[in-house]
Amino acid sequence: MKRIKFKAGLCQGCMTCVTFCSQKHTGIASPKLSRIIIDPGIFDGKHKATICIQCTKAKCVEVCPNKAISLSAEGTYWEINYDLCDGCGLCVENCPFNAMRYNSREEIPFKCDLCGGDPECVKVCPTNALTLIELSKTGGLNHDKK
Amino acid sequence: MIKNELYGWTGKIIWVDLSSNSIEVKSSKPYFEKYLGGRGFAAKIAWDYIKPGTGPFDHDNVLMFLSGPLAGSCAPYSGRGIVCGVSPHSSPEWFTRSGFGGHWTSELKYAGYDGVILTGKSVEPVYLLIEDDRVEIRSAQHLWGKGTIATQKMLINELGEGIRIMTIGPAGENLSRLAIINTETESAAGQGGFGAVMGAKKLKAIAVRGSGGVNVAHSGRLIKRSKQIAKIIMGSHHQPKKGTLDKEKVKKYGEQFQACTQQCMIKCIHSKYYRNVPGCVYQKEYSGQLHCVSHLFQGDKNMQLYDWDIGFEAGFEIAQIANDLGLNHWELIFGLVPWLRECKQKGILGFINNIEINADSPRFWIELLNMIAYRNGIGDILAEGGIRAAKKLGGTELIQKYYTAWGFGGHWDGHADHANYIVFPYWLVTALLWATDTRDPMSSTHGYVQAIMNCSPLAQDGGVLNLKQILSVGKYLYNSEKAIAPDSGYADKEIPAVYHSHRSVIKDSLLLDDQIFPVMFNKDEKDGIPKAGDIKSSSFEYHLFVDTTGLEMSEGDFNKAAERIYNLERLIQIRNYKRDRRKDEEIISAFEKEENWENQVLGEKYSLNVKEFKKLLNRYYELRGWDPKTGWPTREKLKELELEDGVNFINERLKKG
Repeated sequence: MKRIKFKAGLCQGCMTCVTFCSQKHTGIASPKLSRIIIDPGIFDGKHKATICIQCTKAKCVEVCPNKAISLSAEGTYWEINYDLCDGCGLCVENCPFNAMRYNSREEIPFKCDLCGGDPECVKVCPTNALTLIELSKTGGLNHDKK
Repeated sequence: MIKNELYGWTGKIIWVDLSSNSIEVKSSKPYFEKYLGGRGFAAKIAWDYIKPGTGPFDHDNVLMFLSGPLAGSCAPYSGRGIVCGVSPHSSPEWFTRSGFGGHWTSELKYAGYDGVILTGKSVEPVYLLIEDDRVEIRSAQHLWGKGTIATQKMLINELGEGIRIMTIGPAGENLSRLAIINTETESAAGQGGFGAVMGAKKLKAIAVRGSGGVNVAHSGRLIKRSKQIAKIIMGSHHQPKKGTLDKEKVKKYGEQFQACTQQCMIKCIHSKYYRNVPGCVYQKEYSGQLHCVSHLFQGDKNMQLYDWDIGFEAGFEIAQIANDLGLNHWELIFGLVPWLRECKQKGILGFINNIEINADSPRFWIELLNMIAYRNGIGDILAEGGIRAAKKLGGTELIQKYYTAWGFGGHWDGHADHANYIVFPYWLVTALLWATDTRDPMSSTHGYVQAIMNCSPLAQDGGVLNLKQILSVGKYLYNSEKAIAPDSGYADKEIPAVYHSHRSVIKDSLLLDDQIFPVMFNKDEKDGIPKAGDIKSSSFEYHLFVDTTGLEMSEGDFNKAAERIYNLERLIQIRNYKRDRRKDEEIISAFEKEENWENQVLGEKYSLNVKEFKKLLNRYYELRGWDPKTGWPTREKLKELELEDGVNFINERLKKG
């Protein structure tokens, strides 16, 4: 498994990851459609990121009634199979990290798919606040929650 | 294939009349191709709606907050917005502009709007709330009197997280001509005194939250291009020093990078966040950002006119209090305080409200800020800004040392501004830009003089480019090496002046960051010319624009739009303020004294040669298609730019003689 790691102290709140993420996945630049959510820490300087941490034991997978969420072919991230997904939103409600999001216009959930293994947000972050790390087999849930 | 929806722009502008409490949403589509966005839209709206004789505090002054087609997208450095209207800060009071950063402009786009236009005056204090389709004028009684930071925090408390706010502090409420409109801790529309225009309209704030997005026509292309351009800028931008953190300040005050504007993709040398910095005057701690200008509140012993020394903590306290009261940093640091110091040295003025003028005293600064914001005692006069205050307090003969023209402090001019190192002949271009502008031509000078002075062999630290690269860029951008050579005197300076005034319009219209664009140099290229894939630097803005908007527009037409906007601004000046060549030449006196620094290649200090400059001005007008006698655009030029109204106007004016 791989995971995007966020270093709050390096983030400068520029939202570059957010615009690139949403645009890459939907053609629309919008925080509401971004797989990564950033609180730019405007008044307290405390930056927060919300993004799927690719849990080893994933709640979204467990609760999906249609088995629509499964491990990617390379085994690096969880992905939604939209042929199976009926848009019920249970995965969104049950994600302990609020990292599953819902596109109400299209009535489908969405989540970080690491851009297929080479995440755009990591590439464009100007301050290296985002990095891609490889998880050991023991890594996983309750890790790196910021 | 472009679907039948809008890209880049949202197509809607909110028009609010505060006298009648009416809110209307109008289409912005008619402005797209001819006026691009931001400053361009503003010029068209001002031409159509601001009548001659309209003062800054009049009912009819049109106050505009505009975004551009790129705001909210992934285009690099695209998060800025612009405020336009009749300014109380400028002298004379006339239509001008002021840019700002933060996250507000992008949020406005996500809410579905390209801009907010305000007319009239409210009787009671109000604020405007914009949340997608919901636009409301709400009571601001509880916010009136509060600082800009407190106002934002109260509104966030009331309205929830994610709301972005532009607001005024006591300075704006009390109609100080130094009043800014602030967002976040320190991203302000600083120059122009537009905070006082809000104050006159009894508009405390505009709060915005949007749930939508910006449609991008060629998203893949824009992503690719944006990364290529950002990479050049991050690698060898015309501010060659990269931002670093100070270990001691990291430990003491948690210093960290904090973007002053959404979509800023650089580690800035200036914009940082600090927390719990102890005050020197008040027993409290401050947290917030410092940007480029506010670093100077602490003074710099190496800078002749700003060599007070009060330390980081006091400088930080002053900056945060100025932000909260809503006061203009540039005017304070580059104008009022150095002028007051000299007034004291010359025995013209020793005390203000019984406080001794002493820039080395943090208490003096804080008292000064408060008396200006609240118009207490002599603060009532100082709140008028340096130029107007000098007329009442004396010291008029000293004031021009600090103020170049039009009521604004020096900026990249080699004379009034003693902070930004620039030598002859480069300030000739600055002088031309000041001559025809309506404020300090900041966004134009950042392009030419700042890039050259920071990168060329003339730079104080030796620069990162060699002369061959500089000349090569001159040949590429201006088709003239003389336009950029360090020993070229008055030759060809009209070419970069025209070019950069149009680049300034482009960046203020799309909008793009004024420090970053136009991208002038790349030290890693043998010819010095920045390239992003298959495009060269002068085409960067055009490609970001068409990739975002999907507009099928040639690069020639795009550049022509910038020229159209500049000419329309000139027409506003002529119609509303009788602007002409004689007025333009008022800037000459500011450049006649000896320059601040010496060009090492020339080995001596220069001052403006008036005869040569007037010849240069002739060439500038001619290159623009303006009549060198009057300084007015010719009818042929206006026809070429499809400014039919302008042709009719000039015809009538000429008939009247």
